[in-house]
Amino acid sequence: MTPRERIQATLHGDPVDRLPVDLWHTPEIGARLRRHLGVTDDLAAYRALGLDKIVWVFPSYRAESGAAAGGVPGAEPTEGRSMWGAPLRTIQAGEARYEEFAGAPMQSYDTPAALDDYPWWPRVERFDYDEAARRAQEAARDFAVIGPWVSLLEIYTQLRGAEQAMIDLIDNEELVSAALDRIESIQTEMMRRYFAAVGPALDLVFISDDIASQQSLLISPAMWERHLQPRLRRWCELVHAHGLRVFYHTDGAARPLLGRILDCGVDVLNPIQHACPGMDRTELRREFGHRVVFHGGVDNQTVLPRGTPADVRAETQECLRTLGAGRRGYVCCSCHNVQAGTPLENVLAMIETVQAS
Amino acid sequence: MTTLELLAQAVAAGKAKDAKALTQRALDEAIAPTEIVDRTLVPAMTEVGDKFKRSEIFVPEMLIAARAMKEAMELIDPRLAAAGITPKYTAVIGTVQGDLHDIGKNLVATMWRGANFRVIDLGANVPPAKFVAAIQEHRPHLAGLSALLTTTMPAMAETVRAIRANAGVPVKIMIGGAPITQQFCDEIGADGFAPDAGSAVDKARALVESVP
Repeated sequence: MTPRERIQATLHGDPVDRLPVDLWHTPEIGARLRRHLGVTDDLAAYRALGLDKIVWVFPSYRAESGAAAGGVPGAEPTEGRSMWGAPLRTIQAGEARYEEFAGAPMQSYDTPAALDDYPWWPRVERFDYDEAARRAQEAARDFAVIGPWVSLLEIYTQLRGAEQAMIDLIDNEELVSAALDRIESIQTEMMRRYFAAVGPALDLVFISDDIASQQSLLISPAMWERHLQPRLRRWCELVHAHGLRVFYHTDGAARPLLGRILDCGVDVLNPIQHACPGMDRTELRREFGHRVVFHGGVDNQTVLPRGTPADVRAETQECLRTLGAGRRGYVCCSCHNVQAGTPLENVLAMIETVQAS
Repeated sequence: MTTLELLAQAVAAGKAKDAKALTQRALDEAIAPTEIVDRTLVPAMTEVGDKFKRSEIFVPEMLIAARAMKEAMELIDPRLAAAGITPKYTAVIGTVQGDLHDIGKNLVATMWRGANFRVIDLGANVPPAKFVAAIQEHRPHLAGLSALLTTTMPAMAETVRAIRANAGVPVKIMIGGAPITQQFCDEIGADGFAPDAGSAVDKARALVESVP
């Protein structure tokens, strides 16, 4: 099977010759892999590794100045603003270089009416759909393709700042609703244009909405039901209406909401952070394995960055045994982006363990 | 219900205006400021932390409770200062060098204040030397180091080494953040680890009270 066939069979619940293996990585790890393999681009690296990479094709966004907006997941760090107007700062942490929001651009916009004056609402015509379509078509020759990246609470948090966003959920629900209406509708329209441009090269849509911390949910189930559930359901319906699958990402201890998240129409659940309370792999497989494909699993907080290759092999085998029980319904992957400084032999040990299974 | 009971309820429910008004009423009733703090505000915030640990409330509810306590303390602090009363324990806190992710650190700082620690917040991306200088200046009982990224965990180890080698103050060091574990705490020679902001109060109290 080709990588694309293996992923598509997994999505359809069809038999596979072996379970697929994907890899999420930071730009530093991408560069090290390319050097190690003697290739010059990421697709060549994925081919050389025999990865069943689900290739990220997120359309770039050009601000009115013509400058590319930063903060696109998976892209190299840039200076400037995100497409939502948040100022970005590039920071060096040991070997790692990453972008972080340097301020909350909607901090002073406290009422629904004030949102009309917010100067940085993205304009859907400024996304580069044609370039995304070219990248998607190139990737789809061998690989499954995912895009665009869309989000709700993560965007609201970016705009208002993490703590203010949390307080708004109690103090200023009208603002939360009004801002989320815009955040949703802009991305809904962007998705429609993207789907039309990319066409059959596309397999999955990336809905990212972190709603949990390492220990528990960030917000109450009632808040999630009020503000996020109906919007997630609408997006899942939109994606399905285009014959595509929903890939949903939330880090952390999300167990109390997982059933309701899947009920919205999620097809693939990522990243299965099993070190968190309630995220036991065997239990998740037993409870949800009949109706969702798991993606991720391989511990990226301890085992991949700090373990030995033998530790990584044992961790990967445990993921295959639990999340991948019956050799179906699982795409093995690092549980989020492999970070700079992670030994390359650990990354290779994960990939080889799946390929030898 | 007494004024103090109502005040405790207002803080736990995050009702800042009520908390302020009830604090004023308690002061008008000639209740000692230390009693308001020690017997009402701190226990109310302890209960908030316990509910957070049990996942009965979440980050928004915790933040508004802390805001209500802050409103109350703005009326009380000048009276305590006039009487020369300072919190028994002082802490410095920050995210380690290279890490800008500070919501966890902010929650811990908030909950430590709720436990009536004097907290000096050094902010995010704090170099080891800045931790050392702040510890020398403020002579805290406790230093809190936070990291979200696995790539900044080495900076946490380096900060612990720098504090032990250079601060010259017998400060207890607590660490936390998503990838941090008790095992890592033991490896780098920190004194304590807590998995969440509620537990961070219990651990901080245990550490500072363990010093004779």
